[in-house]
Amino acid sequence: MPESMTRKPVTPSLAETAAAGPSPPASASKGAIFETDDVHVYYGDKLAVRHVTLSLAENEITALIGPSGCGKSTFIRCLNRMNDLIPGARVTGVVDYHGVNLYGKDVDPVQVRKRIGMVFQKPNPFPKSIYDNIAFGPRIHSRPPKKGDLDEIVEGALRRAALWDEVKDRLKTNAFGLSGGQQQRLCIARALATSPDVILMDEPCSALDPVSTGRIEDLMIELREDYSIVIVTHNMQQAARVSDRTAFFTVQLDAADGHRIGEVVEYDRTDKIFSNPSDPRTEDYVTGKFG
Amino acid sequence: MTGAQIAASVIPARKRGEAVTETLFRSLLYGAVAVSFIVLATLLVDIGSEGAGKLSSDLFLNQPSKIRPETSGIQSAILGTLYLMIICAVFVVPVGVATAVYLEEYSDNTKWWNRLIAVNIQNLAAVPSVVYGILGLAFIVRGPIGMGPVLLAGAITLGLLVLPVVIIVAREAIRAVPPSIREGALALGATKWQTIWKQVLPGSIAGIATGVILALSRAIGETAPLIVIGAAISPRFNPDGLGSKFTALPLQIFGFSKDVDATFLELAAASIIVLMAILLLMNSVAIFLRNRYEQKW
Repeated sequence: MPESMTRKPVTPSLAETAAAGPSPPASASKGAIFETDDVHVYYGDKLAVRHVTLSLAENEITALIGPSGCGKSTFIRCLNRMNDLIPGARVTGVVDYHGVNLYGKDVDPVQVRKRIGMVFQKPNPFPKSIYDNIAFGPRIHSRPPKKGDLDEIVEGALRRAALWDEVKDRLKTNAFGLSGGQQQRLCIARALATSPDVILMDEPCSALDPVSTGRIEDLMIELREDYSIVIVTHNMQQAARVSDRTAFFTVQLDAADGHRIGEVVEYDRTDKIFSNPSDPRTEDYVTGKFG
Repeated sequence: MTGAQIAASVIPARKRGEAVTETLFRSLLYGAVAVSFIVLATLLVDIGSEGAGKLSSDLFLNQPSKIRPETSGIQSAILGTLYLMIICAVFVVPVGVATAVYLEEYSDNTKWWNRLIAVNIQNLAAVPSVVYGILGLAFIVRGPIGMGPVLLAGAITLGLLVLPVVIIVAREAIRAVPPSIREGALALGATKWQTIWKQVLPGSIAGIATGVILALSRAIGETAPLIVIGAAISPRFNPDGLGSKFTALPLQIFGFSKDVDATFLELAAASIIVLMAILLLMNSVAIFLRNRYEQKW
């Protein structure tokens, strides 16, 4: 079993199944950061994801796994209202973030996204300097920081993303000059600079080589101390290595027209999902029999 | 079998017919290039030899004269053209870019009226310039606005003429900014407007600027709309404001070339050289901007 899995924090409800595990780190308070209730997502008339009811814990890494088209990316985009940007997309159900329904009437999606950072599949640095990439978030906020404070924010974010030592001498150079792995850590740093408390990662390593992937995974485990992380991944080993809990999504075909609908099969502690899943479909997937 | 024999059996020799076709096709291409090159060279040599003698300080310092071709200049036409371009750009850039931003970033393409607008703009770009001249005459020079054949009227008419081109080019430049950049900005809590203003427009500015310059260099050579709106020919004064009567280089060239006196034809040739020099300069700036600032994604 990978080392990261043996130092999983334990939640009371699952204490029996993981009684052998060490006690959780002191900094982790175990409230729920997101609680979703019967979330359905539609694109136009077509249902894309249904019945997602999950409780994602604070200061944990939650992995969403499943075959292509199972709606895991669609679902993660409900957590910071990025689905709003897709014409025709519609979300029903409740997505509570610290007890506030993100889809409530008075909620401004712009404010939501300031609190909930997101990292995408392909690194997407802005065509600006490394410094300006990190400073973009703080600068657009209603009260932009002064130059000295901004320098501190940029340095802090780059240090947290384990990129500072590699770029500190070339902060003013274009971010496009960085390697793919560095660009992805830059994107993580950029998200950290707006001081979110959650980071959503939509297949953050699928465009990266194994070494860069390893660095991002190490970084995620470090960041878990202060942030809650939700990661979509195609890579089951990655989910097993880094995550505390795993939700396994699968695809059902619509009875009427046969289009693909995603739903959650099983959601549990990662070690349970990978060693002793309750649902045979989960077992088939994690052992490589399908998907 | 030797190695060479094996090679010959595996890779058959080239057929004679293929080689002939190849040569023939290549000569056709050379011929096509030669036609356009020869025409351009003839034009340049002809204009150059005819107009070179008139390229003196008189041309730039004096005003056009209908009776004294030997000392006639084209100062009012040069200034008229420059002012036209500047006013035209001031009008066309904000309107064109704003329209492009609306069509690319805000309009819902599933709605028929937005598609109608887009198709109409494509069609407007193909409308002959004289039609814009008539529009300018009916609505700006006379009609509801009725400002007369003045500089502002000319600039707006030319602006309307190139507006569709500017919109199309700006749309393409905006579309070239990858969606991942917009997602990246929005995911950091930027509003839609901040995303457009701080990421999309800076990312497309080189393409937009290049397109605007190329569009203006189309406007600079337009004669028909200026004739239709009744711009002056051979005015002996420079335009001194938006409400001033004016002329422009192509119109002045047209004026000179109507005259039978050979000296006027030399003046026309010299004016063409000036006009082409301005065009060349503008196109060089466009190429420079594209090479220097174009964003590779």
